Amino acid sequence: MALKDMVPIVPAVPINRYLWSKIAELDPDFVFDYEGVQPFFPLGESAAGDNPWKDKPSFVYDRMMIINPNPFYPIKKEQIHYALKANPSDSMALGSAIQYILDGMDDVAQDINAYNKDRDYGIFFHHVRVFQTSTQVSSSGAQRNYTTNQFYVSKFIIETEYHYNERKALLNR
Amino acid sequence: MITFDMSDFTKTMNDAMSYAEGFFDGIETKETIFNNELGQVIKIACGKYIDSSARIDPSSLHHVYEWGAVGDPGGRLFEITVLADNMFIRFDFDFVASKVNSPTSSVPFSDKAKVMESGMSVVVTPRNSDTLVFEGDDGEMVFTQDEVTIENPGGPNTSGSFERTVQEFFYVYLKQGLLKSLLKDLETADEFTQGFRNGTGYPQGTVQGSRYLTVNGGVM
Repeated sequence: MALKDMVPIVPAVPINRYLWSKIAELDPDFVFDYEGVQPFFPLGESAAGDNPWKDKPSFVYDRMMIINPNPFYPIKKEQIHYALKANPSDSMALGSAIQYILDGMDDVAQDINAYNKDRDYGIFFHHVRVFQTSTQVSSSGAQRNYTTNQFYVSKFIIETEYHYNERKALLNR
Repeated sequence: MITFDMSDFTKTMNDAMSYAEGFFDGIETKETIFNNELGQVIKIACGKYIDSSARIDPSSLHHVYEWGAVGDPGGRLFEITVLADNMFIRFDFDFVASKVNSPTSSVPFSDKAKVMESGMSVVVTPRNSDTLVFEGDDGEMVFTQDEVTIENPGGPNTSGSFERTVQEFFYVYLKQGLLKSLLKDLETADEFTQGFRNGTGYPQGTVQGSRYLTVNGGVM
């Protein structure tokens, strides 16, 4: 069994899955256009492989910051950096959707836990909050230059606290 | 008739006053150390924020990294210096020279970060021969004896993007996302009440004041 099958998955994966499912609930046609692919790519767009995303919005994410304010080590705090790449109208709509869906502290954490129960990821979320670090409309001139860059880049931070459920079971396997 | 033994009360009050005075003095003497600790944590966080921003949007920040090392802390072409006093924390950002050759050049573009960030155009002239040879946009080799002006040497997205990312970090991310986590414990001065009991005075107060003003954890 490979290491990646044994260690718990990164928190971004269940969050992405939940977020995409909620977007699908709100706008099924939008999600249908992606033909079953969830457009969340770790670290860079090159992770999209041979799938060119062209004019469709996509997300690039990175595990940015792990903060350890608490000496109680099982509780982890992490900030995930999201970049939404989309045209102006999709940027506005999807940016609002991210905040609407994910910015809900322990309520959202419970929903993510419940939604991902079937996958048994081994992560229990305590809370999730979202804030935006770059604004779409007031972004730089370069980002708004339609001749060179048709897409806006809107950056979000998704902050979460969580713990892993089955660490001992994994290590003693 | 009811009587009060005021001698004990006076002693307790004096101890409390001395303890409180010590607590505030402890905070004051720790301020420079605290600001320095906080500055170092913010410096690490800022570097990580810029690295992460570069990884998720390389077209806008590739110029502040060595060729082929976008988002890699080891390939940074910027340095952050922290200067802290009891009154302020100052962060200085400097670009450093690139030492790695680009894939199409035999010499490093030393001022790569500075030139591309400022949006300066670059004029290339033949140096060791009369003719300039390079690969054109269409993949064909170009031979010319003229100067070649490159308007945006880093591409259209690099100009000013490092400054914008640093501003994002300090004006938005630091306030909303990081300081709250690091300074959460300062909202309530638990150390003040935890350290006070009968018989404690000024020295214990300074110790507790110093404990109170501590950066809460760090970033990885």
